[in-house]
Amino acid sequence: MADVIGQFEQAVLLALVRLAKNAYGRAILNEVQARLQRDVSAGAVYATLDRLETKGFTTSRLAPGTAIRGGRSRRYYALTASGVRALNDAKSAADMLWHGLSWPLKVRT
Amino acid sequence: MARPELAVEGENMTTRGANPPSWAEYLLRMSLKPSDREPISGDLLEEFREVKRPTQGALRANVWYVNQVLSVVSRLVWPGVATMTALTLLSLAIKLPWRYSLVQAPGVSVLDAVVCAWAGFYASRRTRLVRTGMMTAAITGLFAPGIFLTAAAVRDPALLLVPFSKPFIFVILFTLSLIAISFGIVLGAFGAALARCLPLAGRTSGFS
Repeated sequence: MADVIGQFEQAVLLALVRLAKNAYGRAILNEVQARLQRDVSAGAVYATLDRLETKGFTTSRLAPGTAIRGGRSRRYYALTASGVRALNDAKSAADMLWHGLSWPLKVRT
Repeated sequence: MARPELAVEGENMTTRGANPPSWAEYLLRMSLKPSDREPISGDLLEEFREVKRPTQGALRANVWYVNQVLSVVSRLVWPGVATMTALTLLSLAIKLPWRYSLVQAPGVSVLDAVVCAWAGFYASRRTRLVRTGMMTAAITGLFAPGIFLTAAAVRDPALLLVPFSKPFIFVILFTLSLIAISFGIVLGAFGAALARCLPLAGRTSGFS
């Protein structure tokens, strides 16, 4: 089983899946914010991206920048096979926890 | 209220009005490792110019940008600050001998020196910049008298009212803070210089 990943790490990895070839910092930040439905700081996303790369779940490459960003380069991220395994493990662990329960849970009075 | 003009890609983007505060941009670049300076500052600049500035106006866009920069800087500073907080509280609780210092001022003990030098080393190791190490150590150093005085106020809440009856205490507090910051800068410079002298091991990435 791959390393256990937290909810925020899952959100970032799933953003890479959804964005596919367009997964660069700013797009990932916006995607994570949209999915989590809350403001997320750039510092948190970049730190997570770096941690995931250190764990071997993602790779990155630099690409030329555009005029609107002052010509500064973009860093594009992609999932590795380990990253895909980690996401699958996280999903099956959550499914296992919920197995046999009906959702949404009812409040007992 | 006049709407801010829409940002147009190209020549107009280099105008002063379409740029975030230069000090914030400088602080951001200073807090990132060399390989992250271009992509991360570019991402924030792109969002600032394409979305925030046109839709929220200059003031709110600047506030957003500064918040993002602080979120990046805090990742670099928190290990030093957390260590300083933990060790200062521990030393107050169990009276560690390394609390001693040559002068009667909080934030300048052997313990503070070690933490500030380490904070400078840590920050400089990540950013490869001595000035970032000095800045990080200065912020860390400022926390030492802050925690010390907060702990004193918790033990004796009446201390909080003393500066209002004797305003000169504000001057003393300001002086103590300056001493701690200066101490942090000097020790941070030492730690940062040490970090620059040591070769980088393994991969050079590592978000700060």
